[in-house]
Amino acid sequence: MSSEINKLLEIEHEAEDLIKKARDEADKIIEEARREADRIISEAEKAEFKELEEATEKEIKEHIKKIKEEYEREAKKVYEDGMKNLDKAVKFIVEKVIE
Amino acid sequence: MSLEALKREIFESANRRREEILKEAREKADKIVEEAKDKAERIIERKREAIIKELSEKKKAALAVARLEGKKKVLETRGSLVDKAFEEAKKKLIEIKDGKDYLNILIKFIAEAIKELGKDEVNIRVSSSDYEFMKKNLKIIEKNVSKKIGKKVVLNLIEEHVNIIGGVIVSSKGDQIIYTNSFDSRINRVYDEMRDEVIKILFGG
Repeated sequence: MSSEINKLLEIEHEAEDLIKKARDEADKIIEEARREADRIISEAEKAEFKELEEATEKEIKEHIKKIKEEYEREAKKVYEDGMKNLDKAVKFIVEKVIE
Repeated sequence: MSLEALKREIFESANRRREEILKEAREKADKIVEEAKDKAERIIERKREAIIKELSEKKKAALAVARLEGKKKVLETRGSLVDKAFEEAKKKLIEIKDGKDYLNILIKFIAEAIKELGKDEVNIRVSSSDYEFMKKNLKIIEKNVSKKIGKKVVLNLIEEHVNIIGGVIVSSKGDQIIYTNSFDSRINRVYDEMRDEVIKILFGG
């Protein structure tokens, strides 16, 4: 009878050990998941938007170029109009000086 | 129950518990990772929005600077042409000094100055290039100025030359009051008072 009780205690001990190992394994699974979560968040925090930045830089450059060309055309027209009327303006100034 | 059956029962129960523990752990692990993914998405979205905002402001500022520079260029072109018109006018005025009208211009300028000063006798100063011409024509000028203002005036031509392109500097006999009626001063007056009209002539509008 005593040997049977001992045998039973041994079996229960083995079963408890099985559950303990399962708990350890479960802890490892959760720990691994936490590390994975940290890695995912860390990656997100390091995220860069190089393509977006480069595309915007390119867009800005193109837009600036257009603006420059637009004002250069305007300045050229202003110069041409001014040169056409320069003699008239000079005559006006001279008349006002001597009148 | 036999010992063997009891053993089987205990192990089956332990295995069920083991499976439950592992299932719960896996579910919890999946939840942790899913939540991290959601959080990461929010972080990335926030960063994207911040970068879009930053780039948009950068673009806005860069375009504003480009427009300002463009406008500045147009204004500088206008300004340089206005200056050119005044420079050319100075050259024309120098040419006028060699023409027959210059005598009448000097008579007019001196008469105008004398009226302003309210004196009958005045000192006249001219540029070095006008001095000999003035000296030669002083009596004719004096006569015509007197006629123009309707009373006899005396003009004293001062040998000391002044740095003007043309016209005269007239002062009271003791030089207490001075009236500058040079081309330079008159052109400056036109520049100050009639620059807008010159701009209209040059560029219309």
